[in-house]
Amino acid sequence: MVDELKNLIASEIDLGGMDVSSFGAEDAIFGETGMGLDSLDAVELIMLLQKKYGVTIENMQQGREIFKTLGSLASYIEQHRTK
Amino acid sequence: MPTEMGKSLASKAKHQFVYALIFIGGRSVAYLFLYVLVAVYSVLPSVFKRSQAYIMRRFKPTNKWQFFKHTYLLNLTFGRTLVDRAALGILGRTGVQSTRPERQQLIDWATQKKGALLLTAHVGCWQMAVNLTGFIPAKLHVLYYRHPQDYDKTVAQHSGQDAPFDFIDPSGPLGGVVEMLSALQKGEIVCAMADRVFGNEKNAVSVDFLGGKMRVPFSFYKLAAATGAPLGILFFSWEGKGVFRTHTCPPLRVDPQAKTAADFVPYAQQFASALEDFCIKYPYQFFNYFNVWSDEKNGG
Repeated sequence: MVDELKNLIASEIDLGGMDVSSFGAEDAIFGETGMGLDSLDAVELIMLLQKKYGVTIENMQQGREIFKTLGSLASYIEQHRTK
Repeated sequence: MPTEMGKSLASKAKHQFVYALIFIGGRSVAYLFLYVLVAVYSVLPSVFKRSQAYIMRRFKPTNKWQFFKHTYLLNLTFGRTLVDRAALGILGRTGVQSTRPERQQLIDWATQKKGALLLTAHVGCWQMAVNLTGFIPAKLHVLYYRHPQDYDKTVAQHSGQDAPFDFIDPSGPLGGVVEMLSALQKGEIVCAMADRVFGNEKNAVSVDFLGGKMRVPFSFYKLAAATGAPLGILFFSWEGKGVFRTHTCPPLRVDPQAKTAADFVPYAQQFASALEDFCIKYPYQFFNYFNVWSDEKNGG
């Protein structure tokens, strides 16, 4: 799921040509380290997750842990996907 | 983000004094006090510098007296709007001038259950008006950063009653976009200040405003594109003692395919043009005490 997720992000969100192949489950999605997504990318990512997996994230109390790393997001998707 | 953004000019004690004046003598006594207080504040370099950029662009003063006059009138109007907001909480009375079509427009957006983004700006008496939105039949969220040294009490803090909205904090993780997105998808309404960049400067675009280039955030237009929510622009002009008017523009529909910063410039420009029209009509009601053109020297 981690590989599927990072490839999905790379194909749908503009990462400025970043090579995502080296990222793993422990890497951060947002912030200056890891994949470096920002708040605006979050809009696209959340919509993407809803469309592809049917998962919703409603607030950052919930999102803080889910979005921590690629691994935590992948795990959340696996547990909550409806598609 | 400028560290002074949202910080109160006056101390907590001075705020308490004005609240006491309103409570004891009513709004008129507080207005009288403002004439003196604002005159003193308007000559303080730390105060006039905050409105200098707007005064220079909007009025083009040719001497120090003109500069002082415009600064004084701007700050006096701002003070009156704050007194009105406090009076609404303390005394619980105000006049509202909003024509039926404008109110109906807001009700229509809410009843469509598709969510709506209402963009406003630091102009007029938005702080008071947002407390009088109880007629909108949908939950309202206001994106608002409260500086730790902002001593202005909200209407709800004065009255002890629940506000007709809740706050989304843009200084929180991911700038509050998760909460905004969630609210819009539930068919709720999100109101935000679209005239000031908060957070990452790369999420802003340049638009024409009062003869210069102003940086504004484009996140709201991106949210509208992602959710399909209509986007409304509205301002609240201060019309006199406790009276305001609501000004709305025809709703915008952001192209769902819009993705890049450049795609959102036309929408941001419509907002800036509406804001400029408001500033021309109400020259002393632009209270964005921040140099919104500050990036021009860097070619922004």
